[in-house]
Amino acid sequence: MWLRSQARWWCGALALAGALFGCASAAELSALAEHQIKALYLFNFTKYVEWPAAASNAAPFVIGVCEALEVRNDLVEITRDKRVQGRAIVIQAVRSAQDVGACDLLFIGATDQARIAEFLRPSRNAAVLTVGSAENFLALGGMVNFVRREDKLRLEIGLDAVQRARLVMSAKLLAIAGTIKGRADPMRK
Amino acid sequence: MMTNSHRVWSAVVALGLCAASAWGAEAPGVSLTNLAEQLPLEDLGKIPIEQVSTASRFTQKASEAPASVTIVTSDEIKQFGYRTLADILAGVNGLYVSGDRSYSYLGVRGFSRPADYNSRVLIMVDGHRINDNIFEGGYIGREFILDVDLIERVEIVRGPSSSLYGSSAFFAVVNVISKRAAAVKNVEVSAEAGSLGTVKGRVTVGGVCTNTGAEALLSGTRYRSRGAGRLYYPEFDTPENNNGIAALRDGERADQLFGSLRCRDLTASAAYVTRDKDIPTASWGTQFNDARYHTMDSHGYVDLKVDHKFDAQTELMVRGYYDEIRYGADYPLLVDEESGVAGLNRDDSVGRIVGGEVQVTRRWNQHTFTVGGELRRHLNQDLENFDLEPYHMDAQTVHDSYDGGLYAQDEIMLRTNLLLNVGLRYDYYESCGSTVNPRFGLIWGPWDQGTLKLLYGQAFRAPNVYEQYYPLGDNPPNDDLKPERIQTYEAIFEQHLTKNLRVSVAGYFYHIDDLISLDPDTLVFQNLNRVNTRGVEAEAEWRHANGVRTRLGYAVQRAEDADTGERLSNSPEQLAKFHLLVPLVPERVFTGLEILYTGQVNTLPDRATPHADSYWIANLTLLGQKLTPGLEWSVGLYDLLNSSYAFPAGAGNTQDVIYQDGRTLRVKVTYRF
Repeated sequence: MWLRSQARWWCGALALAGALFGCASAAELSALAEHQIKALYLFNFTKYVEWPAAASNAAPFVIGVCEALEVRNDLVEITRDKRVQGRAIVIQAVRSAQDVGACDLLFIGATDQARIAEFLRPSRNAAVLTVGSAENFLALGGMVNFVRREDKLRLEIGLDAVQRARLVMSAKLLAIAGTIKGRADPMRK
Repeated sequence: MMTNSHRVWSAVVALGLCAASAWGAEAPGVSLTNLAEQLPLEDLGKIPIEQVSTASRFTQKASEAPASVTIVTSDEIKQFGYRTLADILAGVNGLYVSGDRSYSYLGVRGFSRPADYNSRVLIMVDGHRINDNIFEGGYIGREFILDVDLIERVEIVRGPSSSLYGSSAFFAVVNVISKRAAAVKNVEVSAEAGSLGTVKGRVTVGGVCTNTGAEALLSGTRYRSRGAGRLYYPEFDTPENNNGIAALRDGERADQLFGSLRCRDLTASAAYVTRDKDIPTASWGTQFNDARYHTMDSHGYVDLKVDHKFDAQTELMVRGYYDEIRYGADYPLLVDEESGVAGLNRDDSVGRIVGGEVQVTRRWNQHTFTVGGELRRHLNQDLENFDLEPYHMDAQTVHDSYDGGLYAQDEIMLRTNLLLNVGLRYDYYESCGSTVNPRFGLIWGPWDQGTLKLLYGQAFRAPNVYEQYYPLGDNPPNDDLKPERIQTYEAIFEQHLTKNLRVSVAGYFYHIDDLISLDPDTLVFQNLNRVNTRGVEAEAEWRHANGVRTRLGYAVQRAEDADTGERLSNSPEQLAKFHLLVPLVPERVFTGLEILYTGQVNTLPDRATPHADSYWIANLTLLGQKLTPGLEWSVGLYDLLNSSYAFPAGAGNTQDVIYQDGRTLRVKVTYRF
């Protein structure tokens, strides 16, 4: 009985301490599969990146997904009935470099360097936001890379490549990136 | 023959299927669309990545795994000050750990025979089998091969997994995933000191090559503990036995090495542990308070693995490995009346394994299909016992063998909210023949954030070399032993009640046949016992918005001999686990409180003390990180209330129960350059 009351006392004391000191910290979130977190990020990029104005609002906003079936399925679910700058969203499987030209946002799930380079080449200097998930994705010319830090998924951003493509990233997006490589130009919102 | 319980469960499964097909199609688990609309951008980097790779041999959400799964992360290991794998597992709902100052024993769902070497739980490191090939022991104390500081996460899959992993995946599979070099980077040095003259040091070097993406990690650990200074055993309280006091007889020394190299598809890893433990209990009729009584365990392996993705749908895994496992013990025998000398008797064993496995996972349409095969050649399974002076070989087994298995599994998405997971594995053992083990899982998301799992499985444990070929007395050993078998029925319900509150309930019934036990009259192992185990486990986890986390687990279980109806030894009817994590300074200073309750258990039959009492243990950890760049510190108080608790002793002990250390302290500092 004594042990029990001791335990209760400690619980109470700790809960109180928590209430006093712990208020400022961030919400704890339930775990998700890695592909789901990637899909959520990709959807958010459409809100925090500005693309050069499209020729017509009738043209859909194309998110290309290469070698990431689960991410593609998640994106289909998330983007149902949603729009980007007034344009309908289309999720497209990218199987060869020829498919890249039609994309506004391209996620490359491949980890093989040659394969990544093959898909990045046609998007160079085009207004395509390229996102990858490989150790040296930025070095190969990609713009945003997913990296695992402990059990979380963080971002690396290659600013040079973003600017070359005339894309504008919001300060909010840059602020959450773990690493930013390239010129540290003052970015406009 | 179909028993009543078979029929009930078949009906439940059929009912589940009908209901599922009638229900609307909502995604199981979390609704992504809601998260996409509600979660702010800055929160995405805070979502923990959930994945289980052990339950189905491919990466999936825990809620879709065909088992009750618990994951313990590296963060929790730090926050709750876990020192060994045994500490980690003791905090997991439905599990309990006991010990006899020689090894730690893991109990799962009410089953843990005193001083049995965890041969009914498969322990793995990065998918590499750790159980040895003589006793099939899966070691979880300081003799476990990986330093806990190098653990990225531990996946605990309850229930049978022989349909994927073969022998020993009987009650559970514990897969320990090691940290990758990116998590360490450069150099990390850690030092800790604690009660009972305990010190530990670790140096880890990690590097990632930015051009090639290659990563390398190398780590070494040294652990020394003087152990309890004085241990009083009233059973030995005579003047010639130092009045029952074992003075400085509890020391422990362990060294660990771990290295891994990853480049593209290739992972090469190597690990080694050696542990030397002084035994203070004078078990197996040895001389009390004799400094020569100790056990030595070592295990080393090299493992080469290729994981290749042909495309988004097809993955190939090929693995080859070599393991060497040694065990030795020195037993100071009782004083010889004539010569007055206590002679030394020695156990010596060596196991060597060469093995390989291939696995292909392919996804198409609604299927995730996995096929694989495994082949192991046991070069040595040698065990001997001899007296040193004068030399006399008492028992010897020189053995080698092979075993192999073929398995197939299909996860079928019947509807978007309904998964069927079917697996089957064929195993062949040179020693005991073939066995086939299936597993079925129906995973249904009846509504948003809720998952119902209905599971049936079979598993086996092949008799080990010690049981089958090692002569313990004058009678020849029983090489006709059959594998132990288990049939399991389980239902699990998990529900996220709010964004921050998750509850789960599992109910199960296990039936074990042909359990291998030592016949005390003949000293020969036989397939003697049948056991029934049933229980309910419930868990609630609450993640408060200010970072406070609470987890409450409770298990009520009964494991009994199916013939006599008697409750098994070392089988608590109740277990409770409470975890509270409070961030005192957000992301920097944490307090972790762990309270564990284990109900009363029976000691071995015919002991004078029939029970080991129930006990509460409270462990408190204060962790500081990111306050000074690179520095992390923690202070841990274990068994805060100084409970006097004991575990049932094994057959080799004179004692009925073995008392454990009371309150201890550990201080740890880690610096990352």
